Formats: sequence, C-alpha cells, structure tokens
Amino acid sequence: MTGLDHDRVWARHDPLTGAVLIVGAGAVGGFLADELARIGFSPLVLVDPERLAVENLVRHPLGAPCLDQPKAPALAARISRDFPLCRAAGLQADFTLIPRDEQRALVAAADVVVAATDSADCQRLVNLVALEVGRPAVFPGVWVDPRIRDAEVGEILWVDPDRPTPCYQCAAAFRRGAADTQAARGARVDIQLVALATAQVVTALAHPESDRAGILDPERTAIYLHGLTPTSPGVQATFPLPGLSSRPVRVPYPSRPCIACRRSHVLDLDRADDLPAVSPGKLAAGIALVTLTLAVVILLTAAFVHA
Amino acid sequence: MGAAPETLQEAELTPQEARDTGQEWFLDTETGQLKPEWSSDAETEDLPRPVRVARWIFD
Repeated sequence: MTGLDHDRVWARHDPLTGAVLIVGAGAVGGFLADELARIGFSPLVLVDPERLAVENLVRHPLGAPCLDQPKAPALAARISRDFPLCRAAGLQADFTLIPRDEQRALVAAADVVVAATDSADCQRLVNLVALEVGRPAVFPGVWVDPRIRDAEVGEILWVDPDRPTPCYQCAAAFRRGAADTQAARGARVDIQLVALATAQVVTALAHPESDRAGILDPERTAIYLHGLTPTSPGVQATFPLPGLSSRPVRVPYPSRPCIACRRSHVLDLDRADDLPAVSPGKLAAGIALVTLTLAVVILLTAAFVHA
Repeated sequence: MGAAPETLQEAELTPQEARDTGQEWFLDTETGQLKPEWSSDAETEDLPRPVRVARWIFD
C-alpha cells in the first residue's frame, strides 16, 4: 500500500510500465532511475558495488547525508520513499562478479537493461548476457577529449536482439585502450542530458507499440547528443550548429563476425541458418556442370585458334 | 501579443548549414571515427571530415 491515489499520481500523464535493470548507479544510472520511476517503470533493480564518495556529490542524485552508503541500495531506498508507486531494489555488487546464473536471472527479469558503469568489461558482459537472454540493452556514455569540452557530447547505443541490431561489442570493438573508458571530468548539468535521453530510449524499447518508439531508427542505433554549450572545433563537423542537437548514427556490423553476437556485414549468421542447406550431391553436380562448361569453352576456343 | 521579432530571419539556416544538418553519419567501428555517409549527389570533397569518437563511462 502506497497510501497514494494512483489516479491523482498519474493525472498528468499515463504511466508507461515495465521492469528495468540498471547496472551502474552513478551519474547517469542514478538520474535515469529517478526518471524511469516517474515515467511509470517498476520494478527497478540497481546494481553498483561502490559507496557514495565526496567526489560524487557534484553529480550524483544522492547528497551528503548518504556519504559512504552503498549507492545502489541508498538510491533504491530514496526512490521507494519519494515515489512509492515504484518498487526499487538496490544490490551492492560488482555485476561481473555475480554468478552467471544470477546475472542471467537479473537480466531475464527485466524488460530493458541499461549498462551505465565505469568498466568496459562490465559493459561488454551486460551486452553478452542481454544477447543470451534476449533483452534489449542501452549503453549511455559521454565524450571527454582534450579537443572538446568535458561532457560536451553524449552517446547512447541501443541494442534490440529482436530486430536484430548490431550489439555493443560490434560498436565498441575499437575501444581497446584505457583512454576511451577511464572516468573523467564532466558537470552534472551536461551529463543529465544523457540520462534524460537514455530514459526516452528505454521507454521506446519497452513500448515498441507506442508512438514513442518512433525515436528509434533500427538503421541508426547510436544517438549522439550535443549539449547546450558552445561547440568545440573538434566536433563541429558532426554538430555544425551551435548548442543543443542530436544525431542518429548508423552502426555497421563488423567485417569479421562479432565475438558477442556473431554477426558481420559479410555474413549474418542467424539469417544464414535460415537458408536452405546445399546437399553434398547438389554441390558435386554443380561443380561437375561448371567444369564441363569450362572444358567446352576451352575446346571451342582452341578450335577457333586452330582454324 | 507582439509581432515576431525582426531577428528571426537570422535564425534561418544557410544553405551550407542546412546541408550539414541533413548530413547522415555512420560509426566506423574499425577506426573509431564518425564518418559522413556518402550520397550520390554529394562531391567527395564537400563531405565533412571524420570526427574521432571519444568516450568515458560513468562512476
């Protein structure tokens, strides 16, 4: 019992429901959970191994009273208290260290999974488990580079195994060095833009029948956001206009089969499985026909030359 | 209700800006660059240059 009149709570908009697993309850995962609760999602399950540190205060939804508390349970408790129509649970754990069957159970219980961690290995693992279980997944990130302002550009990759689309590994195979994944500077005012857009992507994936799903173009599964900030010369080619804008970007399958989803732009393995098999007898007959044709061509050519 | 401000004209896109805004992009997953999609009605030299993808993820 929440003690709240549901009709009055949802008087301003109808709830869009669903279960979401958020791996990483930090600067984006934390605000994302808050947003999803108000959209109507429940239950929310948050997974994060860390405790709230002083350095987190400038961009985390939890404040000083929660210092040194585990982020995921503290945030889940706050959401449940502030918005009791949402059932939120927090798990203080490193997702990569959870037994595989529990990882799969967590993902299978969700309609959509979000990986918003500071670990490239964890992002890849969430991708893998989501593919195995068949759940859509979203991977938000922010650009930090000496040539641009901190957190000036946000990045959201989404993966829907039902369509299917390229997976996180397809899109992030080039991210091998630490420089692409280390935590860095960035202000909450810029980072929250990514959390808000991620909430829209999660909603669209959870409700493919809704007109909200129209924001997802299956041919362009990466969304790049430029914040309401001056545009650095380093990104002006992609964002030619000053300030706020977004770009849906096509993510091609890799040239070699992806180690996670096994797809490539040369061979789509799942579709290849659907193709009718060629029997050894038919293959031999084909080879014989080609050989015979070549022999006839060679003989005819030789006859003309001789004549 | 007042009249629309005269400066509204300045918010219109130039032909170059309109072309740049309509430009589509793809992620080159081998190089980690955002690259412009080629279209048959665009000269190669008119395409915007690639942008290196940078990224961090969240603590």
